[in-house]
Amino acid sequence: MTLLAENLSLTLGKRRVLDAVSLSLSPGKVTVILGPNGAGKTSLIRLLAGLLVPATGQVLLDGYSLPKMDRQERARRIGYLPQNGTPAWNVSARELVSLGRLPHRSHFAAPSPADEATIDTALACTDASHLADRPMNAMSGGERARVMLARVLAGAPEWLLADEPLASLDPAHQLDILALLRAQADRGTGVVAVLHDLTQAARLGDQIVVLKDGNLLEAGLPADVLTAPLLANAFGIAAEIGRASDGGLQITPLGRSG
Amino acid sequence: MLLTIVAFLLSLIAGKVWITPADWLADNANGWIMADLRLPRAILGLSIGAVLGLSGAVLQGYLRNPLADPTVVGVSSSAALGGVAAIFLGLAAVPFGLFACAMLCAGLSVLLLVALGGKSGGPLGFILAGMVLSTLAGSLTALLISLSPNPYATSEIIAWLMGALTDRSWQDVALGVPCMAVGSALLLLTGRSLDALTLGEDGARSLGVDLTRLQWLIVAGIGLAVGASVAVTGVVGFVGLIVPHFIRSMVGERPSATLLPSALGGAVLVLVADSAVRLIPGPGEVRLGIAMAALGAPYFFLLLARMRNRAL
Repeated sequence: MTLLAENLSLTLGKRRVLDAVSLSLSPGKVTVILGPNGAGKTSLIRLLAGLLVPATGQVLLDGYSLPKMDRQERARRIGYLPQNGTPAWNVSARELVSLGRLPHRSHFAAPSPADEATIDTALACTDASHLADRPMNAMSGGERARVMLARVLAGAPEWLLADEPLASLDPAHQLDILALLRAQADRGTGVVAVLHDLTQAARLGDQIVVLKDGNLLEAGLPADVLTAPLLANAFGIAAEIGRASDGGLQITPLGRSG
Repeated sequence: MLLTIVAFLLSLIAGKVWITPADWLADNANGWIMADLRLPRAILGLSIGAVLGLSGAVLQGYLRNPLADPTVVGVSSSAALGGVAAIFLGLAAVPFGLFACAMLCAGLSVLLLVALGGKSGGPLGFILAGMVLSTLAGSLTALLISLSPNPYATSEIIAWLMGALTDRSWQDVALGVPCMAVGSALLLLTGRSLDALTLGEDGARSLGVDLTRLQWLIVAGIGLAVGASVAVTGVVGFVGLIVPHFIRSMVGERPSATLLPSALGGAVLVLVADSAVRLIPGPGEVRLGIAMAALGAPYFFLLLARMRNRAL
């Protein structure tokens, strides 16, 4: 059960957004994608989710090329959380989370009791049970983000791909979501997340992938990848890399590197 | 559903001549009016209202815009161009001439809509392509009106464009209703995908929705259903805009939940409006299209006033 990116390149308009990126992702592990703005992080995660067709290369799920895979099967196996997801209609949180069960239901079937139970669990996991009947427009950005994540969890996917899942969350809920993503990985789900905070990335990721200008700069264990020279090269920053009192990596940007 | 049945019965009873149920099967003038005028008119009113309400709900769900309706994507105006061309060329006198021309133009507009809108099936390309078509069809219609050979032809075209159910026959029912039924069936298949589109295009794709297939379902459904409705009645606006708005305030905003109620609500609105235009005193009848516009403007004024109050 692996998700493999082979030599992925992508061109949007005339711009080369990704260039020959190869990655091997394992179930039960968290892969964090890092990179400066415009590095191609969102394009890479959309390719991994099967939402874009690469110009060259392919994404293989257990050896099957994603674009050729049945859409419903792909949707059941890969859950994708888009960036800045604001729903188009003012539905309730429960209605929104129930969308996660669509790939598991036949065309005209109503949600089964098992679907309802999964929806309840997903809402509880993201500390959003009390929001179930609240319209999405009547929520704060953080509450909405948690409900959107619950929607992906309701699909019980083998792979959870999240594009900036911590955006608009307060520190407490950021920690909750990080713990939730880790728990999903511990249960065997393959987790891929785009993050911006270097310390959070170092603490969450089993594997760190760093992109710059569409190229893969480095991929590997956090302590091996997140070094001062790499941060200077990728982000143009000087950073202090140390250990927090709990032993985890702590990366503090100090300023722009010369 | 009950309201729709009541509106249908009202449409059979009400008019310059009131016909009670006891007279519906009578072998007299009232019975003939019922069999040859009122019944086909009520069936068409029911079908057209349902089609316009449903199309509006589907398009609003697809484009994720509460201001979308069949006129936005250019199918109505293209079918209207076909109808006007038929009148202009004298084909309206040929059996099925006007219907065939309107349906042909609706079909062409559907193909152009997909070709212009792009292969990705994205709503933005779709709405832009619809605006191109709508503008083009509108300008060609205006050109035909300005070139019409005599004032009689001009007034015939303008009267047809205003939309009405007056003097429609069983032939109109036989031509229009099957197309509207098939088109509506296609549109009713879209509910689940429209729900998924609540999450945006990427969100919907990630849930297994094939946006290209969805776009084809919608254009084929709208082309058949709205094309046929315009072909038999001319352009009746506002139904597809007002009804889904009203329905959302009652059943919530989940797109699939609005489809069937919008169809029923559209049928009620058109049947009641068509009954009302028959009751206005005077020698002729107010055109249905004008009556709908007269209802639509104050409805949106009320919505606007409510929004401003909420903002204050």
